Amino acid sequence: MAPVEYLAQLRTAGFSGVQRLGGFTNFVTSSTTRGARFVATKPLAPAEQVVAAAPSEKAPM
Amino acid sequence: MPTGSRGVRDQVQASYAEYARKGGDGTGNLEERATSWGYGRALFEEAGLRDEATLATIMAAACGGGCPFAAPFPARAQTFVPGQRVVDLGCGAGHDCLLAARLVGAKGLVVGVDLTPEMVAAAAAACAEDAARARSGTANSSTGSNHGDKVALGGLEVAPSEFHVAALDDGTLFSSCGPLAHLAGTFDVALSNGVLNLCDDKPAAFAAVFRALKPGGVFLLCDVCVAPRGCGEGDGAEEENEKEEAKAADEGAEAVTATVPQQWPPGKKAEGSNAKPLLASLSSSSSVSSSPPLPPSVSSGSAADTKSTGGGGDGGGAASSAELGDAWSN
Repeated sequence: MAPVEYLAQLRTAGFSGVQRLGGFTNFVTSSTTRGARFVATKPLAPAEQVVAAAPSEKAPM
Repeated sequence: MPTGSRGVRDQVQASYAEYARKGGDGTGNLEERATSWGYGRALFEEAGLRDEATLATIMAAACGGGCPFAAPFPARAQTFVPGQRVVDLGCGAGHDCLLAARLVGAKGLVVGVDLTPEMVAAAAAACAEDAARARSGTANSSTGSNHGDKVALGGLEVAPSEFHVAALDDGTLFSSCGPLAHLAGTFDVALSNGVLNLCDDKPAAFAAVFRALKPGGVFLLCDVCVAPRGCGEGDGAEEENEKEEAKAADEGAEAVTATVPQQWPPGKKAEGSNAKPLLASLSSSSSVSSSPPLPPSVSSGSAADTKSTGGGGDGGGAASSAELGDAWSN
């Protein structure tokens, strides 16, 4: 797969924060393949998510 | 499961079994491999691996496509901290398991899963041996293997480890009826090093990783990419990330921060293995016994990426130009 396909597969599986970290030259790598690294996070369950407290406007009395 | 999975899986299993049986050819350039994958002295020191014989053994056993520990990456400082649970999906002969076991310590857990029984046996043996070494508090000195010199490991604690023979992409691995159902959703970190390219049913494989992790868990993936224009640093990764972030934003996805502990072991560096000093010299004369130094080639003719990677995620072999063009076009 191409790097972009890894990214897509990760997102499709449900991961967030998906990033490609760049690649590296593998010492047995052919001219048409290269190693690459990715990182992704399994999202927190909604109840566990820390929602940044946005300043809320008080409703007028 | 796509037609032909069995054939691909059989080929992968047979090739890796052969390498496990051969125990490596002893001629691989271990230092070059360690360097190219991103393993380095800083990571080994962070893991308490100071003796050359052990390092040589680890790298000789290595099959993979990179170094999942290599920093920097987001949340690196919160990853592999003591007490965490790590699963290595496609653990091969266990070099990443061994490193992870040292990093997460006695209160952590490392689980290795691999398709090939011979590899699982090698991984279990390697980790058991290292745990015994840690228990005894000594290791061969850096002056070479089997010289009888011992160095203290400084009270190193190694995580318990367990290993399972299973296919990552059979769709049941961590499902409620699967062999590892009891471990689903329990891992802080999942590793996969040079394995997903060998899976015929990639969506199933990615889904298995997702099920393995607990919410907030981190997946570190190293693999081989089809890269006709090069796939190294500065090759467009940033642009890809920007595109993905934009896409995620368009779809309403939210950035999520892992909830793993914030501390980093005292005295240990948050960034591990991209530091320059690499294995000073991993002599091929060091004890290299149980595992293959290089992933084997897997013959082509199937739907999996094995036809373009040469197996093991090492990136040997070549895809046809037609495949490359298709794969690269976004």
